[in-house]
Amino acid sequence: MKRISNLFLCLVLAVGAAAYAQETMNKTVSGRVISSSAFDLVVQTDAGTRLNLVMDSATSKPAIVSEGDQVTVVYHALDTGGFQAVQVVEGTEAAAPAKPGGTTTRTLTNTGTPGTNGQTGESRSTVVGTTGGYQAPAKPMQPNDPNRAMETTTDSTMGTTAAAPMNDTMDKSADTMDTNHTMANDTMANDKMANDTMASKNTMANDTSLPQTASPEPAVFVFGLLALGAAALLMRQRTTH
Amino acid sequence: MLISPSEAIRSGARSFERALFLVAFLALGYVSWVELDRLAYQRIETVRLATAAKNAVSQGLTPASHERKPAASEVIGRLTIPTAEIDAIVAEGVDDPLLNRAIGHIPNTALPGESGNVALAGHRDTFFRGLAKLKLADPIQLVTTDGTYDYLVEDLRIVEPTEIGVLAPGSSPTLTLVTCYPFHYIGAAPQRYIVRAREVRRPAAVRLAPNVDLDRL
Repeated sequence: MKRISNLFLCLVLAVGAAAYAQETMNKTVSGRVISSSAFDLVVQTDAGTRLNLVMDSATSKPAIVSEGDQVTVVYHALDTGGFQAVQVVEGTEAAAPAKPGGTTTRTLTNTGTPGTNGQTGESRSTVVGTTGGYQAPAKPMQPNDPNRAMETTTDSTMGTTAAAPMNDTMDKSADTMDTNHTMANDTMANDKMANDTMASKNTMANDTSLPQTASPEPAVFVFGLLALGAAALLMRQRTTH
Repeated sequence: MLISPSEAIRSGARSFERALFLVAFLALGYVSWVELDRLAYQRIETVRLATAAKNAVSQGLTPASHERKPAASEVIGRLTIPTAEIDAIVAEGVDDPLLNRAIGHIPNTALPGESGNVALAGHRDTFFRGLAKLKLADPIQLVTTDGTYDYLVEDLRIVEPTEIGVLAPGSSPTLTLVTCYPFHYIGAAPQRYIVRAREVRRPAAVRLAPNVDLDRL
């Protein structure tokens, strides 16, 4: 009985660890730098997609990253919808490969009339089926509304959720930069820059990724069931002895 | 007064057992609450949508939804996909609370009846669970107070979350459904499953309320 209880506890821990590992998967992309600052890196990937990345003091990167440089970036998705650069390396190969979990596995299902799969590099997509009438545009979506950037910055649905963690990251980065005297010591200037960067990131979070549509319910449900099972086993063990 | 080691162990086990029961109660309670909230929202909004459609028909009103952007969480219509057993309310926005209750219309994409690409997002483990069953040429219906819009699936694909090009408007009115992929995955899935459908049989006067399919509401 004791063994079964222990097994249950191990299972609970394993499920939690697996879920955490899945959320922290890294991916690698290569492309040319369009712009870079202390907190931002915008890369035009080899596949033609524009990728906006957030950097902080933990990001490993060369001393100077200039516009037009060919770089390879190891990054992971943030819960808020943006992307965090983990490592930036000049050239076409990252020094440390991404975690194996970061590679993409594709499963073909529901195959109708097969379509083409011409995407390379970052723009990896799998055509499950197509009637041939539609090809996904390579370029990022053009906003329908010319004022969209400004509106999405203040959008209460996504902008607000993206703001808090990014603010934390920027505060930490700003602190580090102050210490190293790599930026002007003027606090007002730092604050203004942080605000500007945050505004651009809120816009970026809306513009550069599709909405995340995972609900926590299944994981919470499984967790609850396991806890209930473990508690029932413990109670049974206690009452029988 | 000294406590024997065996008693201490028993007492610790009892505390742990209570903690586990509490965790189980909270976790299962949360899931039940979200589930009930979703059911209630769907029921209430279905009735409201039907009432709004009936009023529009009886008063012969021309809906003005195309002239303004819907407010956050405002109900847009009802999505029905028989093959995938999907029948749910669509509301404006893609924030977490809304996606727990309804299918979300991605802001700044076209609205039903407009010429662009109507993009909708839903949880893969609730409303869009059935998307995996969808095949090419399967029918999709979007019922709004403006009218009923029919679509046929023309493309199914798996993309990276950064490939927002799938939301770009095409040459003809389209509907794009977005959900996370793989379908059976715990946590934030790394990819997105995209269903693209083209509009068919658009009513000649789409914006006239009599086109509303009241039976569907």
